[in-house]
Amino acid sequence: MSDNKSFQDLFHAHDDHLHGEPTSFISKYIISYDHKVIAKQFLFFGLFWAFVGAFMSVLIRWALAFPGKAFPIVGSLLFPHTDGVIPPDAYTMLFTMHGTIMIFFAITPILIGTLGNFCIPLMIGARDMLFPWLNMASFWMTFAGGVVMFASLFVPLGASAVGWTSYPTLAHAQWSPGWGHSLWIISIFLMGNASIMGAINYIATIIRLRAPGLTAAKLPLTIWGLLLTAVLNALFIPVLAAGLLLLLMDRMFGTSFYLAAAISQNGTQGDPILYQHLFWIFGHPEVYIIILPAWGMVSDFLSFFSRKPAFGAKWTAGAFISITLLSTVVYGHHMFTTGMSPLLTGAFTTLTLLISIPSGIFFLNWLGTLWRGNIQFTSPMLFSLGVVITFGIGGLTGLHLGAVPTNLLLHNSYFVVGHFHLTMAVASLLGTYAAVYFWFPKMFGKMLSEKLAKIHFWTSFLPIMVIFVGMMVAGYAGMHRRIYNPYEYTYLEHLLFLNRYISLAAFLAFASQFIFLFNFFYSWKKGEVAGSNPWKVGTLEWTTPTPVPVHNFDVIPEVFNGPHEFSHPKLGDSRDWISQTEYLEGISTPV
Amino acid sequence: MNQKLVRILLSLVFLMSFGSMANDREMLNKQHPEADQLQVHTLGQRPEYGGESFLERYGPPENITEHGGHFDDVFAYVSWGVLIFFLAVVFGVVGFGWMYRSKPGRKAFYTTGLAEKKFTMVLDILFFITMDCYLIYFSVYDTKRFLMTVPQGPEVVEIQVMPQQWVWNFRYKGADGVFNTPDDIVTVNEMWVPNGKQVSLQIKSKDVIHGFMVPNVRRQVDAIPGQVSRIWFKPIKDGTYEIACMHLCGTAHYKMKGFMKVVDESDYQNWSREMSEWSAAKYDPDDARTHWGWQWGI
Amino acid sequence: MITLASWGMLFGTFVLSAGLARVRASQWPPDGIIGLDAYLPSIATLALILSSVLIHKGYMRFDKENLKEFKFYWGLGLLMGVFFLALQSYTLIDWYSKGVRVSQHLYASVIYVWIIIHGLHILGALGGLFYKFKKPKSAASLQIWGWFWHFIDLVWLAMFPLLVF
Repeated sequence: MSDNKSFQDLFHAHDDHLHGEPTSFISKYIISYDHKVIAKQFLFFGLFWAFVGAFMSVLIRWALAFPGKAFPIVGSLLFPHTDGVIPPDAYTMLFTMHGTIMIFFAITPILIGTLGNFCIPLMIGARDMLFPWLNMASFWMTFAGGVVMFASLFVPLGASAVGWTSYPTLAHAQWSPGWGHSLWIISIFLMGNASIMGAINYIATIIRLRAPGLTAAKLPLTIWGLLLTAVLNALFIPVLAAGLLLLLMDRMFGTSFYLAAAISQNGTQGDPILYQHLFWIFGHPEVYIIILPAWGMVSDFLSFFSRKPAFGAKWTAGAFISITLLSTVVYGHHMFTTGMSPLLTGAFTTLTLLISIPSGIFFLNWLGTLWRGNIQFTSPMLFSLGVVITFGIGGLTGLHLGAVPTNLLLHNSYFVVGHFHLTMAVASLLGTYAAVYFWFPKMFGKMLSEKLAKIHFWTSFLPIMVIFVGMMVAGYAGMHRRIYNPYEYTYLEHLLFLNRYISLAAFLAFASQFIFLFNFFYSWKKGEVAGSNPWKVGTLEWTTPTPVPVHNFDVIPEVFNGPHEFSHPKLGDSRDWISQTEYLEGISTPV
Repeated sequence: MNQKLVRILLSLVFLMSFGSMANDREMLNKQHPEADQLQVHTLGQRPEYGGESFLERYGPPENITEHGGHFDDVFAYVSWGVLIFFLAVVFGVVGFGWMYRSKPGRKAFYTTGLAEKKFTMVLDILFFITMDCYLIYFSVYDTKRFLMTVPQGPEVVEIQVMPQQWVWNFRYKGADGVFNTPDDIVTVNEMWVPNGKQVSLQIKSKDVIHGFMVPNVRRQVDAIPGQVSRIWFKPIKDGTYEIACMHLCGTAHYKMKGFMKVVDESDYQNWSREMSEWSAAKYDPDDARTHWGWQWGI
Repeated sequence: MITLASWGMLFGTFVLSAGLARVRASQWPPDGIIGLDAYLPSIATLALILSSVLIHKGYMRFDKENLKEFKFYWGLGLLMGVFFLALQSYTLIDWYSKGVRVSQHLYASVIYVWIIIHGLHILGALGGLFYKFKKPKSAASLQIWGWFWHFIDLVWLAMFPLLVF
């Protein structure tokens, strides 16, 4: 049926300029088709929202550490009716928005939007993404989502306050009146659409635009992570969209998809649990979406800065794939307390616990990469090691939560909060920092200060460990999550000291991020000019000049080597790395 | 140099938090001035600081049910396992980082092929056997034990629970042994149960999703509108324990606290009989709000 | 292909939810609601199937030099699609005029929402088909829109028995 050649004609992009050189300010920086510019747009968008989300977490920790005390300096501005003390309804809005913003408006745009957009074409030897228009539309739709979410903060009855998971029936109009949550749904819908568009772009680009010789075995693990993330994105965000759309219908048009018999009209058959199923069918792959790019990047960085191959790289890629597949069938472990059928419960817990096997494989491969290496403690390496440790403890505590008995004890407690922050927030945050420190020279043409980077690392990593391990302790002691004032319960009163300790660590970690911001903007303007390959690494993006021209490569490269060919015996003693495009007998395979 | 700075900062933080503890008792007393008067002051069986070990203080409140200890055992097992594997990871990172740090003239070892991978395979299989197998076994077994079976019979104390924003409603059968009749005992925020008997709860939410949990019982279940959830346990120690709402249910979710009173069997029977008589006498057939019970079924 | 997989998941979710609602309901349509008359939607379904066949024929007969046959079949397929949409709209408007509202029952919610969302996608697809009618650039681009159209049809074929019977 299909004429293969004509199909390819449409996407014949290898030697075409997909778009001409932009000339005006608007076409260069605002309405740009260039993936590198779009990457930077996502970056600044994400940095802004990350600051907003982080500030919200500071407010939350303040309320837990100093209940009843006014927040200093800006407290009376933010909460004029209570003299600066954070009231309970604002608190529920804060943790809802903190979760939503960090996941959808900070980590996703930066880790997937920025790093995916920047790295994919450059690392696979392409001139741009396969669908540049779609790429641009994806950013602007994200931006629109941001505008809607920002607007939702100022509606009369307040922003969404039902938890980022937005469970009905609390999320229904009857118990959460006003536009706040409806706007939240619309905003997430827009973000979701943008993600899907981006995901389609990434998958198609990686499949079709790889340079000659770049086989699956020679693909950097970063690209593997981004590819699998995109696959999960494309398949599971639509499920969220469906679930949210039905909720929006319930809120705005009086349908009763999630309203159950006694409280809806006329004894209908809706079911709040349906939402939970739909949400978590999306929700569990979502957390893997967030961490997979970081995993891929850390796998590469550990190899780059140990100056040896990624230990078991093929097994690592295989582990990523099997985790991607498994992640689709484990979502029920968020719902053990809802009275699911025992068959489902047993199946979900078994599958969840089995995910630990491929996770163990790639994790041990990380350690194997360090073993007998020649380790350079650059800032990307420090942050990657941070990921190894935080994901180690975070991932292992997943065992507590995946097993039914301990889940029944720890569900909805701070143990869960500690666990998911370590795995999903901290590991991806540290991975993102590692990536930004690594690719900054290529993106902006300047080197970041390594000294400031190291201070940033230690003043972030140590407090972060205190915060989230402390939370797990608090959770085990019985402190539940999403709680304004746990000290109402006498069995939690003694946790004030622990919470205060955690909060002080949190304030310290928050302050530390300003070191990064300072480093970022100062170096951008006044940093040391970067060469084309300051890290001496062989992947394709480092074969371009710095700054990278619009068309990326003058000539599409041919790939002969894998990305981790460090310290190969055939390289001799003068150097320990080889570019993917350099042909050397004994190492390279012809195209 | 950096390390020193970090250490100083951390000690400052530590000291500050200790110092601020002096205000704690005062502040908490201001919030709960009635705490000293109420006999519920010994809730959760948590003595004043300075008596128990670190683990006791930062673990859940005392277990008071027949099976609660099992959950603590599983948690302890997993935690020890996790600690050991995590220490191995830290050794890997810090140890390898130190041993193989870059020095002039050093060359990394080019790994290839399957030889070294055997080691990681063995470790992974070890992990699987010690952790996964144990957990899968208990997960399936406990699903059967706690989620699939419900105690039945004349000796079981059956209570219907209806959480709403933001109180707990409880309903007992009363003297006639049938729910939703005039002699039902209905309480708010107070659940009486006899020591040493199986207690079986059916829970149905009135409005939004709530979570029923008594930390001393070690298990929880969600209360979902339109669905009946079940939980059961056997208390074995007298006292008053707090019931917590474990699922975000609105602005006052943090205050949705109830009390479970475990009393002697005979005290319970007396209370039950008295309240049942009183309810039957006060019964008002026109007050629709009190007719929230349902058929027990299974 | 990937886009279709993505959309497949979206509609898959809807179908699953509808299926669940259907299976759980003891009576369909439930008491007190006027059931959706199956007559018009059945005709609409046939029209949709026919339109898919016609679109496919139009694609096969695409010839850059001689556009006549392409325009004939493609155009006819397009018209059938419009006819489908018209019938669906009429069915819903008629049902609405009989006093059925979404808030009355999950049954009504499901049917209204499903048909409307499907209809919106049909509208979008029609727009694309129309654009291709005016400016057929290459066989490949026709194939893509054709696939999308067939996909929407398949979705309707899956939903139809669930909703109406």
